Amino acid sequence: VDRRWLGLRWLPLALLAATACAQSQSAAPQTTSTPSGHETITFANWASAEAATKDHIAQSISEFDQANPDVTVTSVPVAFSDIGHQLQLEVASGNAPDVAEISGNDGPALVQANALQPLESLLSQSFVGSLLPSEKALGEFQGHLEIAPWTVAPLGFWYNRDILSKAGLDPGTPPRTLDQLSADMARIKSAEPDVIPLGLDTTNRTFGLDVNWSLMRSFNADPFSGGKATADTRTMGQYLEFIRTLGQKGYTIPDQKIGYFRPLAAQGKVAFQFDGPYLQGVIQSVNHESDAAFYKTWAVTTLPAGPSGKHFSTPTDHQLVMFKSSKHKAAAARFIAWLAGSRQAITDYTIRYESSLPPVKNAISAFPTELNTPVFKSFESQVVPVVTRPAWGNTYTNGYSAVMAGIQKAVAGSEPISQIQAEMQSELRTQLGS
Amino acid sequence: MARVDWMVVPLVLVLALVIGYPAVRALTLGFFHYRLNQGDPVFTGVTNFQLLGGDPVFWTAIRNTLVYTGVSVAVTCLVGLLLALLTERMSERLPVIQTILLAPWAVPVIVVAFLFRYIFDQESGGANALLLALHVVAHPLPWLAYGPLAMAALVLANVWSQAPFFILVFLAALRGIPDHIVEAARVDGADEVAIARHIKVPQLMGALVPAVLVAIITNFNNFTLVWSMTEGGPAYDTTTLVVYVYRLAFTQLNVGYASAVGAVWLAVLTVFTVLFVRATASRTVAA
Repeated sequence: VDRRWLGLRWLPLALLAATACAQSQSAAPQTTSTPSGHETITFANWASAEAATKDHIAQSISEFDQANPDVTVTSVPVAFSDIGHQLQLEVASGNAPDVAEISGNDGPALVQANALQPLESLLSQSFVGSLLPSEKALGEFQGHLEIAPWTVAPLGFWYNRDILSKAGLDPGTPPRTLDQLSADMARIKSAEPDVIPLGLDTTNRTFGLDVNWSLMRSFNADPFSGGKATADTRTMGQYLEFIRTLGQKGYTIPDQKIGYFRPLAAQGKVAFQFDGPYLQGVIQSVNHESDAAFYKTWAVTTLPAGPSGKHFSTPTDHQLVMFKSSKHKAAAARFIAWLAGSRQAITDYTIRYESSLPPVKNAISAFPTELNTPVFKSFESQVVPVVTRPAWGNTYTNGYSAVMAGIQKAVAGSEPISQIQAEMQSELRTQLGS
Repeated sequence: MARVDWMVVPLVLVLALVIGYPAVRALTLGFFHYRLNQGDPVFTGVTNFQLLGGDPVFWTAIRNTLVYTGVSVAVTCLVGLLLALLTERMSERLPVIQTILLAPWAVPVIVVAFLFRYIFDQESGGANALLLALHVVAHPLPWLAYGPLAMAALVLANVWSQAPFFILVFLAALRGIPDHIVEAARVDGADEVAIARHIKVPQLMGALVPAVLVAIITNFNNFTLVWSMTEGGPAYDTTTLVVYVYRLAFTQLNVGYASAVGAVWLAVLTVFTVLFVRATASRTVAA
């Protein structure tokens, strides 16, 4: 055998061994400051990845660039469903962006990864002081403001008044308890068999659990209380029985994303929908209804109360984070404050294209022209006060799939609820290490 | 004495980097506790592999992978064989028929997934519309929300997408059968069924082995179709190993455990491939 070949054949193996043992912590964020002091910051977001918002966020960023000639923002589009793990991967590989748009569990998961820059010392006192306390609290962890609120979009209980009327129900009196909701859904199903009584997301995603979290809390149920598996409780069983009823009686379509129900809602085929304020924009973009016609048909209030007697809502707000690795923290902070707090960004983007409330105190009196609608008023006065933060973080990341799998078994299967609870508890124990 | 072909060195290096490194890295990570958002990997030996034994989702994923792959490949192979035999002589007279039959293979899997998602939509899908119109069912079926139906829908979409591959393979093999053998059988009084059964099908075995092997590997790794149609649901009823690995690694960020599942997945596929090749090789020798 050729001796040179004998030496060469080990080369790939040596290369493999070297690369396999290598750690991925060497890549450092690029510094993009120029000698003149001009800075470029990267902004990972899904607003620029979605057709409905990409042109408008680009316009908003362009306005920031014009107002801040020493800073240029480079927008990095990432799909909503990918941004959580994409950011975790970028943090692990040392190339996180400067600023990112996040939502739901993704923010607290990044906090627990120790990846975020606390913002209280970087943002101006006037900006921090202007924030709605409940919105600010959603981003506070151990006394630090790690996540800045951007758009306020809690889940509300939407109801179609035309459908209620046709079913013989009072269109001005939505159900206030889950028992009333069940009775109303039965009436609607009987009177209008083609209508879906309730649009509810039951997909196996963290967002799916976000949507169901408020319902669970209405039953005083918590599948992982204190970070431990607690899916075998009586209250969790009651909640799953309620979900079973929804599926068995055809009150909802199982295993569908909330987005599945929105076009159907626009066609008048969904009676109740647990969704954010942006539902109005989606419905009107589909059926081209005027504002007046929309408000005549649709109204929003809080989710009916369960045995706990309390109303709950889950935030689906869009938030902004800055990464510790950013080399342009001051510029990044200016950008965050501008997007979340400037009058221009709020009126031209947050309200108009996100159909959401701004995260500031007394939003309706601060923006009386733009927010003077029955929907925004209901959200501010009824829904925002009952917002509760789910148990977001590592426990949520590890346990959501077990819970949503159980919910899917309950809504579409025939397995006894007690068995579903036992399986959920067992899987949660494995996933949470409890 | 072997000669060194230096021209292959860049290729070997590139393959080592883009295939070898991820494979070795993934296998080694299976021996670590490594959650992407919880700091550096910690060596835990075979703990992840021990956890697999008591993980019901893992065993469900194994079962689903075998069902999905086995049924898909078997049905696709049979459909492909049947259509190849039926259309063998159409290439000259009615070439459009074969073109139509092969067309689904040109459709990207992601498009197939969305197409069949619409077909099996509970409210507005074509499948329920047809069944209701024919009075086969009284209420719309929850195709993608009920486990057994969801698996059936997945397999059906997969068969539609992949049958042309087998048609193509079998048509090519059929053209390799010498005409005089078939003519001799006809002269001896054999009908078309007997010719297909005793002459054509045995002659196709040589083409069948690599085709089935490719189909098994493709289906074992078919993430796009499963994720786009059902995301592994309802519950875990259509979760295959590749979907489970994705969910563990990229939604639960449990990279160490996902790597352990991936290692088992690779081992199962390797063992199966070796056994299949040996079995078919011995069969060919015996024949």
